[in-house]
Amino acid sequence: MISQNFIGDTNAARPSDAWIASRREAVKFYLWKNWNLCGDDLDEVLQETMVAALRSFSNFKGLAEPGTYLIGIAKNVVQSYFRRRDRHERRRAPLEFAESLGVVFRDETEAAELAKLLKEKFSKLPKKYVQVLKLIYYQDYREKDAAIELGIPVDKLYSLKSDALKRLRKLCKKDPRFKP
Amino acid sequence: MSCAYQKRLDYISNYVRGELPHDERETFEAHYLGCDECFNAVRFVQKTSLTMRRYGAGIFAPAKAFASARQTVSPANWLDQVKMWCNDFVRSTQWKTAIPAFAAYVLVAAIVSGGYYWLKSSFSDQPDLPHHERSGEMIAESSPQFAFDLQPLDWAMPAATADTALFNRLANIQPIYQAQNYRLAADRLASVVQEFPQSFEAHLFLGISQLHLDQPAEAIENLKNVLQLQPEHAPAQWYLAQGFLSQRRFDEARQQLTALVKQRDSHYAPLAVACLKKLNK
Repeated sequence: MISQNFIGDTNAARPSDAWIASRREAVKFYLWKNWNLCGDDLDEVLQETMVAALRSFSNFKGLAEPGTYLIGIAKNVVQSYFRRRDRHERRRAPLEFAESLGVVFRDETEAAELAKLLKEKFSKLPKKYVQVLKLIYYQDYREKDAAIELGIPVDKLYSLKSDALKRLRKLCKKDPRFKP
Repeated sequence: MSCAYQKRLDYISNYVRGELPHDERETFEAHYLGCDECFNAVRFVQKTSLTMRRYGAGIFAPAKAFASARQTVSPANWLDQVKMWCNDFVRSTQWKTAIPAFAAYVLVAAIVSGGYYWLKSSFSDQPDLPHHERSGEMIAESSPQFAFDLQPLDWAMPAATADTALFNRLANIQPIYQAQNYRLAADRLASVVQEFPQSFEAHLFLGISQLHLDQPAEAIENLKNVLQLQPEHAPAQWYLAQGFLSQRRFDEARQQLTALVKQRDSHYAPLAVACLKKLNK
């Protein structure tokens, strides 16, 4: 049995069954994010992917990143699932908030609690950071437009955005109420 | 343990927002499927992004507004659901832009309708003004506007003992005057005045006709003649005052109206009082 410390190291030995099982949430997120799957579709494809990953695990030689191995399996499963359902491509419509429940958030209460937490943390951030986050994530501005709106160069905006996210994450991690 | 993406939250943010090129996206996905730290970072950015999008109105609003909004997150029954819907509607971005737009619309509508009624009331105050009074050159003066009372005066025939020829001439003009054909009446009355200069009736009705014909200067002369013949003739004083008003000779008009008020004529005295009030305004 190999420990989970191999992650990110392609020369490490093969991952264990337990490690594959532990990636369930990540695979679920990937299927939701990349293939716009949700609801029963997502559950079904996720289950098939995990089963297929475990079944073909003996064929994995550990030469590639384990994530690449999982992605390869997930892609095959999704495409065969689409074929079975006579669907030839992923859904184009953007994912709604409701569709993130069960994948990103457990339920709406968790989202509401996070909103409360973010509200508190924003009060500790510099005003410029809050303005940048508001424009980009709430008002859906592109970076270029946000820079024009704030009257700053785009490079400056990128660094502000990056710093703001880092500070916010740091603040959230320190808070015991924050559930990653 | 270290990885290339762990601290690059801006890169992860670009992935979450779907702004990474296809090949970079696939590489990053392959990475975070195997990297716990990066997956946690991706989930963090995705969570905050969705939360800001969903609850941004509350998060970026003042603290008090957010507190009331948060209470409606988990509705227990249909009444709470209705309340949540109402709160969402009030907090929504569209509503926030709709309020100033609606206020601007109301303001513009108020200005336009106010202007319309102001103009309407200004013009309705002077329905009987002669044409030249309504023109811009006269209105430009700062003095008040007046409604001239040029109601036709009842025709008064001279006493039967007077000159028969005068009586007959005036009797012929009477229907023309009463039909408000003032031009023809004025022409004929002018010839009567030349022939009978002592007839105050001819002067009076000639003056009134000329006022109706927008000839205030000539009208004033004739009405003055009436007052020379009969100094306290109330109708003549009234129409003379109207003549002065139409020429904007307010002092003389005021004198005539004051004299008229003093006479206490039952018909003209109240009219004169009202007219004086307007003048004094």
